[in-house]
Amino acid sequence: MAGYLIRRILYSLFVIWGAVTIIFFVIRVVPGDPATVMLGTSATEEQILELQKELGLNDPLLVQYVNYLKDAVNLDFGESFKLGGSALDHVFYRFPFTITLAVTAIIISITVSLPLGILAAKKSNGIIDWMISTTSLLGQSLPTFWVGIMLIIIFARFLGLFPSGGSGSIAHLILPATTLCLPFIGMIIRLIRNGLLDELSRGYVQTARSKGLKENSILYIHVLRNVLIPVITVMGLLLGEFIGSAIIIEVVFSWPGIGRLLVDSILNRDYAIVQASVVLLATVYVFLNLVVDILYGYIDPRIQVEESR
Amino acid sequence: MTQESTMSVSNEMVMKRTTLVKWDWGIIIACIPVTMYVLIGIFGPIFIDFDPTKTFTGSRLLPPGSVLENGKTAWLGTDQVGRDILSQIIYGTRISLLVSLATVLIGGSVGVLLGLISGYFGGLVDSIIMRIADIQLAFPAILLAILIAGVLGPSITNVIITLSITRWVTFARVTRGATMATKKREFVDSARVLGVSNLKILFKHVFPMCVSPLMVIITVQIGLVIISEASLSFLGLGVPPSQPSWGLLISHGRDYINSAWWIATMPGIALAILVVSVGFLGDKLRDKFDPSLD
Amino acid sequence: MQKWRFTVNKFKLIVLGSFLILFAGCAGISEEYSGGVSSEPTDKSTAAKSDDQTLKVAFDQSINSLDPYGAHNGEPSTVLASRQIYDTLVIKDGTDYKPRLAEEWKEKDANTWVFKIRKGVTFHDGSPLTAEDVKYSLEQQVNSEDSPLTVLWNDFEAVEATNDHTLTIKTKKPMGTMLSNLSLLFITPADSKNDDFYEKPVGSGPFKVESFVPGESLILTGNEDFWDGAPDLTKLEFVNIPETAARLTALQTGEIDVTWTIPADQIAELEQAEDIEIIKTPSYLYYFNWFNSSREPFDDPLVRRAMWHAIDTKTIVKDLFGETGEVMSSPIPKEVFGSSDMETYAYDPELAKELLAEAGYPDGFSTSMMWSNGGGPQILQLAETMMSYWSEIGVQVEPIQIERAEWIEKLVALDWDMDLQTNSVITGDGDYTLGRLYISDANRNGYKNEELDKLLIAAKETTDQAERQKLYNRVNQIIWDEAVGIFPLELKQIAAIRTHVEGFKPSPSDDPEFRYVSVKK
Repeated sequence: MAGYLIRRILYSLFVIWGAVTIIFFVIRVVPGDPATVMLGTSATEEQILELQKELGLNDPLLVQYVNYLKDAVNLDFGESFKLGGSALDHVFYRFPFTITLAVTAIIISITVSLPLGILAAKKSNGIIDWMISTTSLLGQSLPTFWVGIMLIIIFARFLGLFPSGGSGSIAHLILPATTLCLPFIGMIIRLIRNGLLDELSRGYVQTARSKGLKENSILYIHVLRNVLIPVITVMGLLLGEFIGSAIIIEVVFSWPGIGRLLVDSILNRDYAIVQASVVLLATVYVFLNLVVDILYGYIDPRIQVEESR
Repeated sequence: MTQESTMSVSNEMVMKRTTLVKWDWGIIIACIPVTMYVLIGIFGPIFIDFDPTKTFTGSRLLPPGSVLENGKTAWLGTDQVGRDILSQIIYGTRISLLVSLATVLIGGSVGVLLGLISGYFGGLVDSIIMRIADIQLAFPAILLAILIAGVLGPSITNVIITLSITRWVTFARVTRGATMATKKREFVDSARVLGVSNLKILFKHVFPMCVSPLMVIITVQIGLVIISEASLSFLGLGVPPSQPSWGLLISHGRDYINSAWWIATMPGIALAILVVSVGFLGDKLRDKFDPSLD
Repeated sequence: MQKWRFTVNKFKLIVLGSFLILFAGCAGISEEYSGGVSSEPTDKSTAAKSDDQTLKVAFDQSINSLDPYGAHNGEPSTVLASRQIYDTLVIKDGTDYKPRLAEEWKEKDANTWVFKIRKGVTFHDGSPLTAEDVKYSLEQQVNSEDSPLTVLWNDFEAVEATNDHTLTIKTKKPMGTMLSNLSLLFITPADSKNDDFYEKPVGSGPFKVESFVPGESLILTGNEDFWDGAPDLTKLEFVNIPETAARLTALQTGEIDVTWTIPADQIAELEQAEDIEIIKTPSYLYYFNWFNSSREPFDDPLVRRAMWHAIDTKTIVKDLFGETGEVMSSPIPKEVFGSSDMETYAYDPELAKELLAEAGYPDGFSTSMMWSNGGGPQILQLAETMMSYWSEIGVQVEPIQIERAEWIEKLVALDWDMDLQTNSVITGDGDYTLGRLYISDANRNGYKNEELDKLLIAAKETTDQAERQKLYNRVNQIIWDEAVGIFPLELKQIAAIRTHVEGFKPSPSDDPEFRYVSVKK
């Protein structure tokens, strides 16, 4: 087990390194360098060259990369060109907003989909089942940014129930979090339904039935527990996915999370912030994967840890 | 995420031999709306008299059903420079379909090829390909798309390249899974024993077994790509502003949700119907090829 | 059976419990971190009842830095923040300048200015403001490598604090823009060198910094000891809501009290709201479409004029910008010192075609036009409309909309055919735009004209403002007749305030002073 853990952690580090490297090289090929952006349209050629030198932008790419990796290991991502101060500080300041949004979205999606999934499994192939799969299909098919705008039009503009954007209260969270989880609710419902149906067709359920156990007992005690394994896996991974989707949703709702910071920083060529936030995102994502994998093995001992990917 | 769930499903699918040939009315019905979109995308722009570069500032922001200066009726209203929204949506259909089909074709081919190689040969090649895939999956696809689209600049070709890069992984993983499952089966073994070349085994015996899981994946991916294209265009990183992409229309309409809600709403509805239809078709395919759901 | 029942309950309990924990944790996070960004929405009734004079402001840009000599000091948002936190020697008042920290000044000779610094002014930390502080501040600006305003001080020679309250500035050449430049020189304490000073800076202005999150929020408190009387407001908050629709909704719900930069299409709706007032003022912001005169076919003035005649600026301004725009009559906005009043190019597509034919392009030509994403209000619509007009005379224009970073790079490298952009004459003095952008050496748009260069230098080096105006009239005429660019419209600044806000005066350069503002009780 310890050997597995160490290997798993080393592997996670490798993946993070890969992500950081990709981003580093991709962003440096982007036209428009930070020195020019910082100085604006009135800058002279000399000013730009001077600043490029100061920022180390004239070093060979490989030198910049090695320096960058060295700093990254020390969690030093440099100063933000645009916002000033340590890039990591900015990212850490914004990150809780994104986490808040993602966690709220997860809570909303579980609360909604668990009962619906069970209902769908119980009334398999009934009207409810059909309705749920249709609405879930709908949720998955609508582009989130458009759903966000529609929710603003309906709930902020016409009904005036929630603020249309910004942050500051629980009310500000509702629309973006709802938008965030809508595409996934359908998937989770399906996952629960399919998992339940799968489990219900297994031998031990027949045995339990033949022993005269009540259908509900079978469902909640044996079946649901087994179904929870994929659900937990998906939830862990979903957190990462939510953070990804949050990028656009934060733009739509002016939510001050890491996603909006990232989009702004990409447009501003604010390398330091882009890298700091990507390292953070990749770390969180990989870490979630790790935890999920370990949980997976823990919850269901049938799965040997060695088998995990 | 959809990748993950469909993947585990597809592994099972390979084990159960399914046939493609049998007529299924559910699938045929599900094909109807998709076909309509394809027809609109191909022929629509030919039949309407509309130039997306022409502006009519005198008829800006008119609500659906308004009659324009030139006597025509704008059934879905006009936008911020007086262009007819319905006509733009018809043009946008072509862009959406073009981008999604091209992406699935390019990204899909690359992914399938790598997946076949990876799954069939295993070893170092497999490790390298799958590690690259893992790294790519370590950060959100939309982030990678934003980055690459930023490098390349807005154009239809660049959107296709960008989305192909972000989409190959799913195809590769699914194909790899199916290949690995097929590899262990008797008919592959016997082919190998008979001295059939690897290439021939791959394409003659292994690949056909990947087709049915891929069919499901393709429909799912087409939906995702349509949404991704719209999202990139929404952020201003996708299709250039001269092309009436749905995402761009929605993005422009966002500034007018207080005064002209129809600009952002209408293209979104067109997009939603298409993606729902494709998703519905995908569902039907999945139900058919994966009896475990029945 | 019994045992199983128990497990069911336990299971439910665990699920329920973990939800509660997640909820609580989430609420905790949101409250903890919302404090720094914005407090609870100002409820109308409570705001009316309480004595507390709090004002919340959001505008279309974010405040990224409080460093008045850094890379950001050309940005209106940094100037806006600086206006509240720091003070300047003089301040622009119409076309003239009023004393602030400088009580009086005189030109000893053409190259020497002497300023008498006000006594009894203190910084927020209680230390007195002296001529040394002003000297330090000016030197910071002059020596700043990354400030876009450093160029304003190219003719600066030396600054000297003769005594605590006398300051002498020497210039290499006479500087006609001395006062307008000084109106943008914010005074910080002489020892403000350390790096984190600007995270929570100290100034002598009417407001003190309470907290600052770059790009997100700036919270200020009223300075009781301000030399010209404490402001009415006890708290002034700037929050960042970049999206127009969200910002306007926030104003309507009372979440914010003041906002500006309101698109033409939103005005009518806001005007209907009873508790919102719209204020329109001229601004220093205007649109221009430059031609790259170093490239064919725009090296021919006939082509450039043809392009202008092909465009119906009056209709464009009326249809697209309504009350927010005004057709220009000069290459710089009316409010700016040095503007002239010239006749606009008539919309005449036939004449445009004739001019093109005369220039050797009877069938038109293909070219491109670049602009930056978000480079101005309704920039895409303006660009699309202009291109639509040009296609009528056979000129096919490829649109190039790019991100700001790339746009700046291309702009400076002259790698473009046509460039559509907004520009703000931030100093309010024509030299900032005309002298900086149109002189041949700057080579910003490929246009070169020796006569123009002479006039521009003369205008820069004259301290007689009437003489400068005459020179600029000739400058404007040349730029206009030669059609170095198309100058379609200048923008009005549209601010919206909730009616309980009193004393708010928008500024043409987007940096209104909040010291005069109060909240009606």
